[in-house]
Amino acid sequence: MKLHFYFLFNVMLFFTQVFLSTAQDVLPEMDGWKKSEQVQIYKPATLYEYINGAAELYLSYNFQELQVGEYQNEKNASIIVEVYRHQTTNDAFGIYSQERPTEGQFLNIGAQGYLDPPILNFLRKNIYVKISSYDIAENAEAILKSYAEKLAANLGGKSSLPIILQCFPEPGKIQNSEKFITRSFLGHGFLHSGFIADYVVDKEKIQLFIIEAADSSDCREMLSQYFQLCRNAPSDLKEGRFNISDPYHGEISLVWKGKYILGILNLKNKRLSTLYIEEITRLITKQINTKGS
Amino acid sequence: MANNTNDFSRRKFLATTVSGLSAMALFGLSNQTLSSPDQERKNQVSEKKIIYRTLGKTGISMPIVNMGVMNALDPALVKRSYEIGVRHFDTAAWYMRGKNEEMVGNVIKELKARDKVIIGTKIYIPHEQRNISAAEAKERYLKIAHESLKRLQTDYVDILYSHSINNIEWLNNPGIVEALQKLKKEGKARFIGFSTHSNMTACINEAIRTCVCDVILTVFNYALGEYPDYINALKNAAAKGIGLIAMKTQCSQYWYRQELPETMQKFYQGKILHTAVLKWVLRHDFITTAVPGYTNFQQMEEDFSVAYNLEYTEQEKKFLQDRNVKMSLGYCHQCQRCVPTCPKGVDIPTLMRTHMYATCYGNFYQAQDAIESIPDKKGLNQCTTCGSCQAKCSNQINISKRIDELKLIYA
Repeated sequence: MKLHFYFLFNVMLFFTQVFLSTAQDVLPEMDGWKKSEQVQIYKPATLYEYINGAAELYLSYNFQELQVGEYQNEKNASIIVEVYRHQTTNDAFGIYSQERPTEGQFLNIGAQGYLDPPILNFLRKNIYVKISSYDIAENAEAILKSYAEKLAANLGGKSSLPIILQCFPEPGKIQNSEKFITRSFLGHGFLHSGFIADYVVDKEKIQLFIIEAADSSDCREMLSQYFQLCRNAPSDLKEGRFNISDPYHGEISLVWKGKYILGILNLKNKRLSTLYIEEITRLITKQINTKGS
Repeated sequence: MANNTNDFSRRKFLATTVSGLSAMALFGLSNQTLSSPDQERKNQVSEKKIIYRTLGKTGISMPIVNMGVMNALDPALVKRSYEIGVRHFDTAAWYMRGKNEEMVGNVIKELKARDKVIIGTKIYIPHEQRNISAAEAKERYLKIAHESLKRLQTDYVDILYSHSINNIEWLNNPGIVEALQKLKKEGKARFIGFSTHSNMTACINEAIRTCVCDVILTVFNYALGEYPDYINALKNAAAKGIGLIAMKTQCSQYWYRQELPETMQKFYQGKILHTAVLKWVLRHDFITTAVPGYTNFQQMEEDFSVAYNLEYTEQEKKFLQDRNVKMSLGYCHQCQRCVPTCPKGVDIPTLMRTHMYATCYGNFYQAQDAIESIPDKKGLNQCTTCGSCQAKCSNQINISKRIDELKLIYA
């Protein structure tokens, strides 16, 4: 029986260690802690061996590689660090945003981090870092913060959250509620990815969203399908403002501008709806003008 | 010409077998289903009625298609699922750091439907952290379970799983067994069990022996149709009253598709794969329900359409009979056509079988048996990895990649 498990263990280790030799070790040393000699590397084909079915969501956010390292101190406390590399900043933000709380101890590490003992997670560009501690008796928060800062420095220091988040108007916004959905936005297969943020306006919970398409014709294609689903396709679809009756989400106010589709969910007050739509359109226009796109 | 002959032989073979025994395996029809009119009637329920089955000895009756919430990012999808008839929602503490449970909890609360739905959740300790004492495992399980209840906004879950069991030691860990039984005794979990993604046969057989589990959530799909040991284990578990819930039913995960060329990725697009393969799973009536992880309303409608009728359409039959479809779902059919293409005469089919046992199903005993059965001078060492592997698979399996992986396993 023991032989069986030894064999099993070794075979399971296979996929985790295949890519070890090429990994760049970004994990810093820590005084009083012994770093594991080997960093485990997982690729898209093997991620499920580490996080099981949860891998599917990471893969949908264009996961590229995971490095996992472990530290132990003399008192047998341990820290496990997971460094997920995604294809783009939006991808990494997307998976980070799915897991971050809206309230908590947020930190200025990388683009953003938060401490939720015994864990500390942070984001830097296309890298999402998850640090978990076990059995640290004293100063756990300080140890985690200190470690995260060193690691963030190794990864390149400060960065910023996706710039498009600045286009969400501030009034009424629930801080840290912004998310990036990588596919089937609003649950519709024909809508691609999009950003969405939660608001409390007029005592109602509403959501604002921004879909950034590849180009204007991509927007047209998505909207055509959307109107088809909702059976109120305009005869001549061109840029501008629309109202749509989504069978699953109810009334939605939309604006199509260039390669962007902007919208509001659940806001019944028409005056406020207009104000928000105008403001988000203004902010997007400003960003387009700044970026020159 | 030789290929044509082979094609003809294969067609002839398929023609004779598809109408007979192979058809049963292909379409999930056991001898019993073919010979039992009662069973056929059971599968031919009125188009307007959702088919329900009972989950083993739990007595829970539920639709045959439910929802794996794991990949759903929009609460409206969960809500709409309930509205169309889904009654079982499968989530886990591990998914999105508990956010997935929160979403389920919020939607069920909004719908005021707690007593109308079956909530299943799972407790996970990562594999590399499982070298802990039984006492610590118990403590962590209890803590995670209570956090889950809080996020789900409920006093109890209907099914509480130990998440991702792939070996008997962890399955039988006394701390975990005690924790699950304690939660069940306290009414915080109506039923307990485990989920398994690899080494399923051994784990399920052990569960049958120990009689601790009420429910098992296991991988079951078309690509596993040729594994009699596994299917027998499932049948035996069901016969013992263990409720069986199927996941990964549509082979749509990355690891099923990773080696496929663009031309074969097409089989993963559109409705047909989902309905045909889901029906294949559910026509095995030892499976109570499936929890496909759909991510949008269209997929939801397609998947749930199966809950009304398990009869294959002509199009679905044709799809499942398509050899390319079968291969695209990821397994070597042992056709032997690759053998002459290897200059070293390596027994590639057996190596492909070894690879499948080891990497897809975690059955390392069987992998060892397979590799040891290869005669001298035809084994793994004979393969010199000639720069670019010349061996060709007519069904698009990436032979050289799998052989490279085997070499690492057996290095």
